[in-house]
Amino acid sequence: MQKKIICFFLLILLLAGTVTAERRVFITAETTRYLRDEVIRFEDGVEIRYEDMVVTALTGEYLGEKEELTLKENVEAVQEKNRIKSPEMWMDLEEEHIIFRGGRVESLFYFQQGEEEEELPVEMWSDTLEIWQQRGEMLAKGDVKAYYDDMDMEADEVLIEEEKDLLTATGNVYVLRDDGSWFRAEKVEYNIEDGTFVAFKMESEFELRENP
Amino acid sequence: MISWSKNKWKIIVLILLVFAIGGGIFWYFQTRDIILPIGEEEEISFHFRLAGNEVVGWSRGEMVWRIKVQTILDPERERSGEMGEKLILQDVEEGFFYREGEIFFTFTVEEAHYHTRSEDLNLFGFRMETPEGDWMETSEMVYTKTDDILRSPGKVIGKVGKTDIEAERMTVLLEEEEIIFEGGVKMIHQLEVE
Repeated sequence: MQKKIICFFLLILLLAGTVTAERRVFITAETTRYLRDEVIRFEDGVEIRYEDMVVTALTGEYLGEKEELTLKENVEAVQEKNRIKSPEMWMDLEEEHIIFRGGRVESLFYFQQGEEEEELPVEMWSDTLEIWQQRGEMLAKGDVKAYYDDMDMEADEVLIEEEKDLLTATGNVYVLRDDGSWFRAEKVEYNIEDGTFVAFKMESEFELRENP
Repeated sequence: MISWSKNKWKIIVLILLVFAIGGGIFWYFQTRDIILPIGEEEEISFHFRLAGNEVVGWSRGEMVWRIKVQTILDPERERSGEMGEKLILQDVEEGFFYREGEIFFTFTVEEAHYHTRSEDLNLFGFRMETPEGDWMETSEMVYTKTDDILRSPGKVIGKVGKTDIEAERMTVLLEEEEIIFEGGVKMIHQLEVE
């Protein structure tokens, strides 16, 4: 009997680990159209709240079968102090994968250098910006320009990995610091926490001027 | 031949019996109380009343809606209205809206008004349900046959898929199978995450 009770409790514990949690997306809009095949269209302004993120746009479309959401026209996503503006946003709600696209994407993120340091903003412009919320990763692609602390950066792609505190810029990387020093490289890894660089495949015109 | 003299008393008794039964029946119909399902007798008079029926709406040769109803009332005072004759459908068991021969959604109502000339419907205390389990509630829905559209002039609440929804107005375009919510639309969508 005792064995049976222990087995029962073990089963409950096992099941508890796989219980499905529910999360909510709050949507407000002026006009909403439910079409065939679980397609929902938002018109005349839409606001979506998901966890601590608020996204606003003029129009939107949700594909129920795929759990995909596309917002268009004056898309603005705000998460605490972080802010992204874009002509279009696509989101896979299940995978928590977001792509900002459809023109120049303007973003502002805050990062902390060291535990007691003040948070500093990264301002970035790119053709697209992908975010994987669960992985804490962000990938900016296409004519990327970024400004962080005392440096301007240009690259084909910039990947920010939040957990590793790592910013990796690849393809035609050009970095210009406020003191006038600059360098070019094929790939640059920038440690956000300690402010150190690792540059790969530096080209012959590479030049670095130290602070006087 | 029947002999009068032989059956005189029998014939007199038979005639009296026929008059007595006929008089009794006449007296009963003149004096009985008419029991109406809802409302007071003196408030409304009815041209006719049917019980246990189905009312069906057709458009371009296809069944658009069907209502299973216990009581159909035809109030005389509504007969001269612009909408034509109005039938009041009470004790509605269930209603159906169809698209291409299939049930688009089922509904229940507290009362329905069917306008026989325009073939429009007013559905009061309306709740619709789809075969997939979606539902919507509102105090009144109006179906107009000319454009094949259902409109709610008032607030609607409901659930579509995993989304709770609330809006000031709702329009159902039956031809396009499209539902439009307007005015301060609020939705709460449930995401399931393991």
